[in-house]
Amino acid sequence: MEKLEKSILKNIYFIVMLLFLILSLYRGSFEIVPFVYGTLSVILIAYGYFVIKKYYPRVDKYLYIISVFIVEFGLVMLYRLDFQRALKQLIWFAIGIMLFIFILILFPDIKRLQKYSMFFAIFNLVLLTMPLLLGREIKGSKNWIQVGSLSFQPSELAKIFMIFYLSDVIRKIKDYKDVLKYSIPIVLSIAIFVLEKDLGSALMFFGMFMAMLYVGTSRLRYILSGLVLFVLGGFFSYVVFDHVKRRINIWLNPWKDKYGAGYQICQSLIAIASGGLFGTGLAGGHPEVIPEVHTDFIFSAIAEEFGLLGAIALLILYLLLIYRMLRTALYAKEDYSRLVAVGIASMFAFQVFVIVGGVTKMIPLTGITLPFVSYGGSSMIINFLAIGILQKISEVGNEDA
Amino acid sequence: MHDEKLIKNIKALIIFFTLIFLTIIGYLIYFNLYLSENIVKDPSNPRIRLSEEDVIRGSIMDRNGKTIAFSKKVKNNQVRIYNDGEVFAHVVGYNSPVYGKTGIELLYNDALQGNTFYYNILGSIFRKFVQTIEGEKRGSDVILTLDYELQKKAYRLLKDNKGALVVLNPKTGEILALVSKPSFDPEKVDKNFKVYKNDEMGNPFLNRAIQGYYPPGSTFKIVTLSAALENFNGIENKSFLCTGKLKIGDYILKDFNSEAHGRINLKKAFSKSCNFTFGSLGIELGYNNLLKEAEKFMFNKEINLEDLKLGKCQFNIEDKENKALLAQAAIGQHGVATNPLHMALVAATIANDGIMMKPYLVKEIKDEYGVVLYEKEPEILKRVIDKEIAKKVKEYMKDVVDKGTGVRAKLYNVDIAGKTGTAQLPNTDKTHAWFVGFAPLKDPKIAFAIIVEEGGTGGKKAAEIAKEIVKECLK
Repeated sequence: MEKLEKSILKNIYFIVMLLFLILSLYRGSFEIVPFVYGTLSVILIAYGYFVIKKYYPRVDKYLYIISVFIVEFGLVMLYRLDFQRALKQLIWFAIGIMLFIFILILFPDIKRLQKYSMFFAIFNLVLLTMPLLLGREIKGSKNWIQVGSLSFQPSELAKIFMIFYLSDVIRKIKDYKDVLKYSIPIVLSIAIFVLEKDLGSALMFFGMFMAMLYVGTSRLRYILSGLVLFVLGGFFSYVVFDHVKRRINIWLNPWKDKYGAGYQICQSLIAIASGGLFGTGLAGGHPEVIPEVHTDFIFSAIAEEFGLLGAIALLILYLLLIYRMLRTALYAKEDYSRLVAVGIASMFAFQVFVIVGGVTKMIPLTGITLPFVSYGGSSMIINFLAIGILQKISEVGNEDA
Repeated sequence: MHDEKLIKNIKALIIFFTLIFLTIIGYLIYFNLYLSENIVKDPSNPRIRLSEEDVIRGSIMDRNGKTIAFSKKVKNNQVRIYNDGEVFAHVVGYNSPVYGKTGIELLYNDALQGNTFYYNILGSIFRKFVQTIEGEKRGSDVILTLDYELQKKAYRLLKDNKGALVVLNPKTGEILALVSKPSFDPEKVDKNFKVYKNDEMGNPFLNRAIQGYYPPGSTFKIVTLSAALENFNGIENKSFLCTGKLKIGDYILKDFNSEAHGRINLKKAFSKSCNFTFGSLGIELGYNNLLKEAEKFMFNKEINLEDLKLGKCQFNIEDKENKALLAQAAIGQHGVATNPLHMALVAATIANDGIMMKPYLVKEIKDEYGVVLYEKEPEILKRVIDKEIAKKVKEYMKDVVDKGTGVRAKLYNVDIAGKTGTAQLPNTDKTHAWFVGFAPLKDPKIAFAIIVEEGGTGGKKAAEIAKEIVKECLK
């Protein structure tokens, strides 16, 4: 096992260094900075792996390996797009890994959190309402709060709290009345997201809730009722909220207003189409012309320069990561941890689906980050927090093994 | 709680997520296969312009390597410079960031930008390698079949007249000169686009040589003559009595100035461009024979060329039984329309013993190191008429210049074959002057067609221009 892990890691190092070497050379002369940057990122990965292997040999190291490989995808792309942001992202990456190690060291067994579920629900709502009161609108969504020069997206942390809350209450559900009672916090959260114009998070929360509800209760009826309510709610929002209507109309025909409202999505589609099967090659395309390319549209940039094959590879990495997460759920010791793992896996799955589907015009575009890849501190830290929690679960789960 | 069910549900969730991801992958594949091609071409794609700025655009040169258009950097910006811009405007086209591209600039954009599909494997690898080291990319050069000096001379000969002129090599189809007047300055398109566009009288953007739509007038008698020679045995020995006015029912087909040519044979009738004789020949041939012959010469047919977008040329009478219309069609007046390049092809076909070569403008594409990426081979477009017939038509056309209507084109040291045309315009007295032909008679080097709009009779202005062209080519 350890041999396989090491050989995979070596290959990842090799690929990453190769990509940064391209970034060093593509301007015609050798630049040392990308090479140093790449080396630093590889050292971070190696350090994280070293700590896990040494002190926590029982945890599922593939969760870590796949995650950091996905992070490297993002670092390479960000470096190529915007050096300043790439530098910050590397710092966030380092903080993420530290946090991840701290969780392994300091966090109690996950099941001890079960009794605080009400606290999680309340804190989740507090976090989500904060931007409505204090926040300011960034990129058309009012889901940020700013402290000094740091802006922070509370919805990122809120989703972890929501998972902890749901993992506890879902097991108590006996009938429809219980569903209604326990889903109040999540329905409120989704409503707040719609008000904040953060439809991507609303979609993700809903998907996550449905997945957990199904796994926890085995009742397809609940899911079907949920879907019906979702469709009704969606229709209602379409009629009432202009910003929802606008999104849907852009999705239906972005080319009609390709220099105006449809500009982002059209540029994203053009970028993906320009990539073709093999892509233009790293630094060979022009993804920098896509608006918001470093956050919401980073997948389009990857599809342009790494091509269809690169995009599929990234999606398969995500699928492997989600598989590994659900596998952790399978091997967990008790149901609470199991549901937490399911929640985190669903969160990742729906988040990837919503944003990749959005930038490819498969579904309406709603701004949301691509986990581990998009630029942004809140997102990076919360994702590593999530991986840390899963590692913790896998550590307990593998105790006998 | 029921542990087993939970495990089962998680497994179902794994399958569900796998399906979701496969759906995304499937959609991406579908997108790449079916949607991406059109999306990339959308004008809102900034990559088209950006990639062009990265690469120094290749040059366009004449057959001898003389530069017609080239690009250079002026303070980080690329500037396209056209030598004698107005002379070559309709062939080379313009390259404007605002108004797009036309002509060779459009059709050979890929080659000029260097992202070409013309591959010379070794050369391309070498080029990529050197470009990577040098850090500067340069597109490939397009070498035209045009002759710089001839083109310039032709442009000057048309003076301020509206009109067009085409010279080509009848044996290969290489276009040696292609001029249309009035012209525009490709360097000033950005500034003057609206002026050019709104000039409805001159219409400088119109390439009259290929997109013009003119009645061929008497130059069409070449076709009628070939039809008569093919269909009637012994027609050459027959004589006609021209009264200057051919009565067909209520209609009278007149000769030029109603001149009566008296008793003449076919050769003299051609030489004098006798409408009486050719009108009656048309009636005698009948609609179907004449149509068949016209279609052999590519009337009513689409001529698809790589380098040019040729306008349509038609032979079509609304009433096939109407003899008056048929007689007019036989002399190139009614229901017949063409463009100068096509008429040059007709002359070239005769010159090349009945074989029509495919005309082309681009001879070669070379990369910046002179490696040839593409080289055009002459192609036969069509075998039109028998060699024997072509030979006879040649003799007839020589007679036109020697002692017929085209005598003004005569040169003492070269035998020129030709045919004049005076195309009448509806509702005015004005006529377009045509002259088509080739030279030298024995071993034709050039075939040409000249039209001068409102230039009077073909035997004057057009024939004089033809003479100068032959002089320039064969000096």
